[in-house]
Amino acid sequence: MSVDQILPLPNFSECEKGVNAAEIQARARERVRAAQRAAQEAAQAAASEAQNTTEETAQKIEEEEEEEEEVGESSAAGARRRTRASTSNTPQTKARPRRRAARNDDDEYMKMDEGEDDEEEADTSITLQTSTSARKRKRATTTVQVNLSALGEDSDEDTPVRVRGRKLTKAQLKKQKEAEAKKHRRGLISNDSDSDFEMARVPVPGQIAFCAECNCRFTVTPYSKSSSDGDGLLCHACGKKNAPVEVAAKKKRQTTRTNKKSSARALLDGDRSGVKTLQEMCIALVAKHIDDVEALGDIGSHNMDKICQIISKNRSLNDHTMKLFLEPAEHVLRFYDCSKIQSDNLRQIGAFCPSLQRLHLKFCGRMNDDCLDYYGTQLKELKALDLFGAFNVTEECYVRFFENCGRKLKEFGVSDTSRFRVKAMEALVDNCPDLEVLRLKTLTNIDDECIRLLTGLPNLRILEISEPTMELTDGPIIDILNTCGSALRELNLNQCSQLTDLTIDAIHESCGQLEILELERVELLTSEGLTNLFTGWDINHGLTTLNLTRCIELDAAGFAKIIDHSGRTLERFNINSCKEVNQEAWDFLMEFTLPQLEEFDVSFIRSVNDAVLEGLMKVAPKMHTIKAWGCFKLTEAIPLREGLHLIGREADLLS
Amino acid sequence: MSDEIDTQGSLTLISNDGFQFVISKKIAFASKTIRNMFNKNSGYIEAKENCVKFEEMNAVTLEKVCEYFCYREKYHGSKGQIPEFNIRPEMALELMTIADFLET
Repeated sequence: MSVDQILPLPNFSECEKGVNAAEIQARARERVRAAQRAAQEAAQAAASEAQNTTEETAQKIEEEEEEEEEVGESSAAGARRRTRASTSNTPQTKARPRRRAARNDDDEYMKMDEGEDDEEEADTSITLQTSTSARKRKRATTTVQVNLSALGEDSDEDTPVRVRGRKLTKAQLKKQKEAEAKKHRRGLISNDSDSDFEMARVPVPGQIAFCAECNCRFTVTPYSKSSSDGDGLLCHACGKKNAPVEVAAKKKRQTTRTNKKSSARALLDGDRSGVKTLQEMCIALVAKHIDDVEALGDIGSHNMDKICQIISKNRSLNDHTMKLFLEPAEHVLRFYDCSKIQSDNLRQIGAFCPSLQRLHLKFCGRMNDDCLDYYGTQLKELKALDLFGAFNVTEECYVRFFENCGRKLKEFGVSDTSRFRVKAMEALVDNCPDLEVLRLKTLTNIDDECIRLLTGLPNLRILEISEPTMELTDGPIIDILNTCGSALRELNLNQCSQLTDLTIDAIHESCGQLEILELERVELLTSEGLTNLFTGWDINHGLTTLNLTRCIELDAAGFAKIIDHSGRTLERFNINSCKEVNQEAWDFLMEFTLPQLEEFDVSFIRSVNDAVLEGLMKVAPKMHTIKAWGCFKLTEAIPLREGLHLIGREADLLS
Repeated sequence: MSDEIDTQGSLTLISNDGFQFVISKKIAFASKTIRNMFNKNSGYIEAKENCVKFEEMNAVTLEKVCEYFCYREKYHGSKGQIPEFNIRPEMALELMTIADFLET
């Protein structure tokens, strides 16, 4: 590569002086030639120059000189770094010869480690303390020294560095050898280097070292292995000898990592570790080969449902496999993923299973009006219907269905449709006043007026109005609670984000039978409101499930009241992201017991640490699942109780 | 009624085609159904005779069941990777109903 090919870097001082590019390049060539001619002379000059600097740095400089001689490319790299550092105030042309030399060992430069940094420090101290002219000479010296070392390395075996350069004189070679010997002695006898990063421990590639095992002389490469006791390096041959051990160790590491990953995945899937039951294994196997099964036979509705769940998850519930589950005598039918079943085949459910009492269809996006009309006329005993994701069914069809079913419909659930609107709701309330379970999930066109109609359903036991697209306010919800609150067992108002403390006050007033309360992401609730709910709530004898995910205001006082009121009965407790729950709250909890608690979600609460986890295991003896995503203070230090699953701990997931 | 179950010794499982499998009680009690049969207080005749006859199981299936009992005994409570228990797909359905009956 010629000097001219190197693009000139921005050079402010030159530009100011108005010197043009050609002139700079010409000067550069001249400089290169001068540098080569004066190499020997300059080296000596630099040495003497260094000795002339202040006494404090004298020792450093000597070291640096030695190292420069021994370790060619590292000083070249150091030089290049100096070049970069001084680019802004040094004419670029002066740096070029060094750049050319340094470029050859770019890769080695990347692999340089701490040892080199010390050296660079020494370099910098000189650079700072010498005059500009001395600096020039110094740099010229470096150029030559790169060449010196390059030659030395060429004669050695497997050196990855190749730098073209001039031959050395005999005197120089002798000096180099002496320096090496001296260096080696120093490394063996005392560690007088000024840094903790010992050269002996982390030798720079290119350096000559003696093998810790066979004591032979060899050149250090970036791939040189350190000896087993960590003291010194091994030569190529000895390093290879230990290779099988290392390969085995690496393999073991990888296996551990895979194990860790797979167990983390199993945790996420909710798989219980240990031996599966024979039943589970057979069900999984049948589900796997479901396409080859001609008939399931009399395997019991429980097993059938299990198989259906698995093949729904595998997305292999289709027109063909669905027929395996159509038993004429069956009372309950649940399909968890109907997205591959044509509407005509869904319609067959009405024909094949006339005695169905409960029908539960998820993801039935292909279902059309015909199908639901057919169910309405055909399934005479139908008491419960869940249609999730039936977005093709029109509002008129719902109206007809409710008229057909009339009073015998006890449970109804609908989700993910924009066609269930006021008219359908009116028809539901008018025709099915005995409705006990109503689930309205992710409906787009349900507003306050629509919800207010539900006051006409006095027998409701379970009410879910979750994730509405329109914003629902307190008013209608309070009205509903006033009419049917006293009988409610379950109330789910997830993501009704406009609800405030007024709603909880209404719950406090009327919901004596309530067992399950879900208020996920009702973010306007205040801790005061929640405290009031659980203070003196004597008509209620304790909740079994409480979900306060992202009720971010909940603090220690509210938490204490919850535990005080429902601690004895809680089975599932979710305070995900309630970040105000602090150590005080945990301290309070430790004085109680949660005898029924099985699942606890404490994700994203920063105050959760190992001590809290340990305490939780003590106070909740029945707990089998604890979710702790984003609890960064949890470590692997706490041994988990047998049968307790901790999901989301960072230490388990990172490998 | 308190449980009085003797886990010492072995018992015999007999298939409907006459094959006999002698297996340690401790291992066979992986099945709740068999375990309940050997509860002395419930007065099953099997507990006295120390053998169980399965009218609805042939030797192939019963062998597989015994194999599972041993597999379970070996890997129960062990951590890490557990090898797969091999079941031929064609016997899966039958085995499933039997496993349901045996509560294992």
